Amino acid sequence: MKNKLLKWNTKCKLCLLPSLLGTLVFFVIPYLRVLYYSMIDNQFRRNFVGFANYAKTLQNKYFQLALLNSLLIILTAVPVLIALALAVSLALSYGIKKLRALRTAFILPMLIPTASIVLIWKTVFTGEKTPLPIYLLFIWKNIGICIILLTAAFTSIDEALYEAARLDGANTFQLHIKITVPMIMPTVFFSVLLSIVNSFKVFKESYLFYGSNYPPDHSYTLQYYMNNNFLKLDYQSLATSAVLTSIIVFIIVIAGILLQRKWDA
Amino acid sequence: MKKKISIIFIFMLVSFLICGCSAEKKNPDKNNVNMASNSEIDIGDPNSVREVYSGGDCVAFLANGNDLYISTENSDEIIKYKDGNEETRYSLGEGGMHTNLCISDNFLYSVSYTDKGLFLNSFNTANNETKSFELDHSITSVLSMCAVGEYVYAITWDLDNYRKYDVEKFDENDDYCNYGELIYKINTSDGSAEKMDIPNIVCLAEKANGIVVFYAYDSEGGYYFTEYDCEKNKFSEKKYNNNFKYIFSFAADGDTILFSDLNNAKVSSSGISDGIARSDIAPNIWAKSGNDVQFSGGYCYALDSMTGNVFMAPAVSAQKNKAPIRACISELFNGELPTCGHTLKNEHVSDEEFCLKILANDSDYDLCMMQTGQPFSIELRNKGAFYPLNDVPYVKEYTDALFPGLKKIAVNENGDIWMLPVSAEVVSILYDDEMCSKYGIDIKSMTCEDIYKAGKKLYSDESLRESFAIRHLVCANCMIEQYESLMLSKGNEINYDSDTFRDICRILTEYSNSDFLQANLKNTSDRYDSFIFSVEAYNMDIFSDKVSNFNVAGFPLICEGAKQTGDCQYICVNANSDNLEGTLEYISSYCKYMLESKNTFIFSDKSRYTDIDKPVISGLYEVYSNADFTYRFPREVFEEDYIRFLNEEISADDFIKEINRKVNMYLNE
Repeated sequence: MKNKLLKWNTKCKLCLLPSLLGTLVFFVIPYLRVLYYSMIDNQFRRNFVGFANYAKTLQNKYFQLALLNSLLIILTAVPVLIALALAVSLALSYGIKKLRALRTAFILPMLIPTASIVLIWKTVFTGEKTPLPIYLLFIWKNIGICIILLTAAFTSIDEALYEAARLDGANTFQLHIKITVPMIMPTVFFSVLLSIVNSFKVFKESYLFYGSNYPPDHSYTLQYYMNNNFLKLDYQSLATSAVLTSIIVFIIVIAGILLQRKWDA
Repeated sequence: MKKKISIIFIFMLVSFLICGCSAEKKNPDKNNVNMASNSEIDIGDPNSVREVYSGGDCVAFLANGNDLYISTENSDEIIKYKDGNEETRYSLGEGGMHTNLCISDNFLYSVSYTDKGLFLNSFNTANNETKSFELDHSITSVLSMCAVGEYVYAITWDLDNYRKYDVEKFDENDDYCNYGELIYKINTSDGSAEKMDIPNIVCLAEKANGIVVFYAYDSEGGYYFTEYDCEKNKFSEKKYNNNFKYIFSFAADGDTILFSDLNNAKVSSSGISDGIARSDIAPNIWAKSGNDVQFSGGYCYALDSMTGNVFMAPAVSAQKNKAPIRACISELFNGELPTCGHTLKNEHVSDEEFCLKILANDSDYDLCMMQTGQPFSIELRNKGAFYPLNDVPYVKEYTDALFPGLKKIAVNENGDIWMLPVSAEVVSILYDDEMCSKYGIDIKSMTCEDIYKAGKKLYSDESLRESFAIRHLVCANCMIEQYESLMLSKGNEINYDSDTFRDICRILTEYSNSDFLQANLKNTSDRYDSFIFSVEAYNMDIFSDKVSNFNVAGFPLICEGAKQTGDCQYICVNANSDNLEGTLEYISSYCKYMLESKNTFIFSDKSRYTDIDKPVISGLYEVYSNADFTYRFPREVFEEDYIRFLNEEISADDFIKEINRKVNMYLNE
C-alpha cells in the first residue's frame, strides 16, 4: 500500500514537472535575472552596487509620484469597483429577473478591445483634467470578472442553510450577516486582490487615452515609469522599479491572505 | 516544513547563481589589446597611391604591364611610357583626340573624334600598321570599350538624339537611367559592327582569358553582372547585385572588382558577388569615364578627371589577410568611412535594431556609427558600452586635434575616450556680403527674428525669390537647441518658463506659415549668380569656387551666454567584438589617415584647411570652433504639444507648462 502511494506521489510530481519547468524558465529565472540587474551599475560593466539603485529609485520624485498614483487607484477605484460588483451580483442573484437577461452585457467590457473603448472615452471625456476617465475605464473593464466571481459565490450558497436559519428564527438581516457575508467573504477577498493586481497593470488604457509617454501628473503610474526607463535604455531603473513593484504587490497579497485567514478564524 | 523551506531557499539560490553568472563579466582591461606592436599601417592610405602621370591633361590612358599609354587633350598622338620614361609617340587614324584606349594581342585601339565623324583606330605595334574605320553615324560617343581577339566591344550612345528613356525598374528607388546606351561588337578586320543583345547596358570590363564582364540592369533583379566568353560567344548566368548601384567605370580581376565610387570620389574594390565589404584603393579620385579604372599587373590605375592625372595603387594587398571590419550603422548616418587598408562591411539598421544589438552585447559587429542627435547616444555613453580607446595609437593625437566642443563629448565621465567624431554639422548662414549690403541686411549683427524679417523683405521682390533660402525647421531647431544646451549647462533641469523661450515661441508662431519660407535657391549650376544668403545645416558647395567669395556666419544666438549647437557623427568600438585586434588596428589607421587629411571640419588646427584665407572657409572654421556639440533628447517627448502650439490649438502658456513638465520628467525620471 505504501509503495502504491509512493508510486502515485511520484507520478503526480512527474505530471507537475512540465508546469514547474515552465514556471522556472519563464518566471523564476527571469525574475532572478531582473533582481541581478537591479544590483549592478549597468549591463556592460556589471559592477555590483548593492542597494544603491534601490536608494536612487526610492528617492526619485517621479517614482514617488508614480507610486502614489498607483496606490490612489487602489484606494479609490478598487473599493468602488468591488461595491458596484457586489451590488450587481446581488441584483443578478436575488433581484429583478429581467436583469438576469442582461448578464452577458456585463461580460462584454472584457471582450471589447481597449483601443476601441478608448476612442469613445476620448470623445466623451474631452478636456478632462482629472484621472476620472482612467478610473472609470478601469472599473468598467474589470467589473465583469468581479461580477462573475461574486455571482458564482452567491449562487453557490446552499439554500438549506437559509432554511435551517429561518427555522431557527433568523430574520432577513441576520440571514445575510450570519450566512451570506461569511460565505462570500473568501470570494470578495479574492476579487479585491485580483483588482489590486489589475490596478497595477493599468497602462495601455492610459497610454492610448493620453497618447504620450508623459501623461498628466495625476495619471503617471508605475508602468509609465518602467516603460519610459525601458525606452531610455536605463535597465537598472527599470529592474529596480519592477522589483519594488513586485514587493509591494507581494506585501498586499500576503496582507490580504493573512486578513482572510484571521477572518475565517 | 523547515526542510521544505530550506529546499526552496537552496533552489532559489542556485537559480540566482545560474542567471547571475551566466553572462561573463566583461572587463575591458582583460581584453586590452597591446597595440604598441601593431602601429605600422601603410597599405591603402594615401601614401601608397602614386601619381604615374602628372601632366594634368590626360583624357584617356591604357595600362599594360610596365607600359602606360597616354592620350592628352588637344593632341592627336598617343604617348607610350615604359617604366616611367617616354618611349614612343603614335599617330593613329584620321587625327583628333583619342579616347577609350585598349589593347589586344599586339593591337592598340582607340576612338578618335574628328570633323568627319567618329573613328575606331587600330595600330599594330609589331609592324606599325594603322587602320581606321568610321563608325556608324548613329554612334556619336563611346562610353567604354575593350578589345578581345579581333573584336572590340564598345558601349555607345547617340549624343545627337540624347534623351532619357523610360525603363521598367526592379525597385522604384533604383538609380538606373537609360539614355539610349547600346553595346556593339566591332570586327576590327573589316570594321563591321553588330549590336549585342544586352538591354540597359551600364559598363563593361575585360577579364583574363578572353572574357568580357558586362554590367547591366533589368527589371527582374536590378543590376547584374554577366560574363561573355568571346571565343564561344556565350553568356554566363546573370549575377544580380544591387549593392554597387550605377557604376561609371570598373575593372575586373577574378571575383574582385575595382570600381569608381563617384558618390565618395574614390576607387574602391569589392567582390562581384559581394558589394558590401569594400576597400578603398585610391581616395580623392574622380574617375567618371568608362575606361578610367583599369587593372594591370596587380595594380589599379585610375584617371582623375578633375586633375587630368593618372594614379596607381596596389589593387591586391594585405587586405586579403585581414578579416573585414563589420560596421553597424544607424540608418541616419549616410557617410562612408575610408577603409585605410582594411575591408569594411557596412550594415545599415533601424534605431531599434541598433540599440538591441548593442544592449545584447552582440559580438557580430566591430564598430558602430551613430550621431549625437540620436536620443540613445547619451545613454550608451554613460554605460561604458564601448571599448575605451585611450591606449590605441594615434587616438590621443586625433582627439587632441579636434575642436574643443568635439573633444569634450568624445570623453565620458570616467575619462575614457569612448568614441571618435568623424564629421560634424553646425547650422550656419552662407551669405554674399555685397548683396546683403545692397539690400540692407547685416548678417553678423542679426538676431533670430531679423532672419525672418530679412526673408520677408526679400520675398516681396519677386526677382529675389530664388536668391535666398530660410529653412524654418532648421531655424526652429537651432533656437530650441541653443536654449536647451544653455539650460543643461547649468544643471539637469530645463526651465522653459522664461522671457527668452517665450520670445522663441512668439517667433515660431508669427512666422511659421509665412510665404517667404517657400523661397529656395535654384537647383541649377547658376544658383549662386544672384545669391544673397541661405540658412543651412550643411552646404555641399562650401569648397567650390562658386562660393569662394562668400562669407559664413553662425546662426544668431538667442541670448547672452548661448552658443551655436551642432551634431556630430561618430564611431565606437564594440568591446565584445570577436575581431577586436583588427578593429583597433583599423581605428589606429583611421586616426593616422585623418590626421594627414585636409579640409575635414572636425580639427582645430587651421593649417589643415587649404583655403583658410578665403572668408567662406575661415567663417565656417570660426563657427565650428565655437560650437557646442550636444547630445539631444527626443523631440517626441513634446512633439504633440509643439504641433498643437504651432497650429494655435493651445496657448504659449499651456505649451510652456507642458514642455516644462514633460522634458524635466524625461531628464529626471
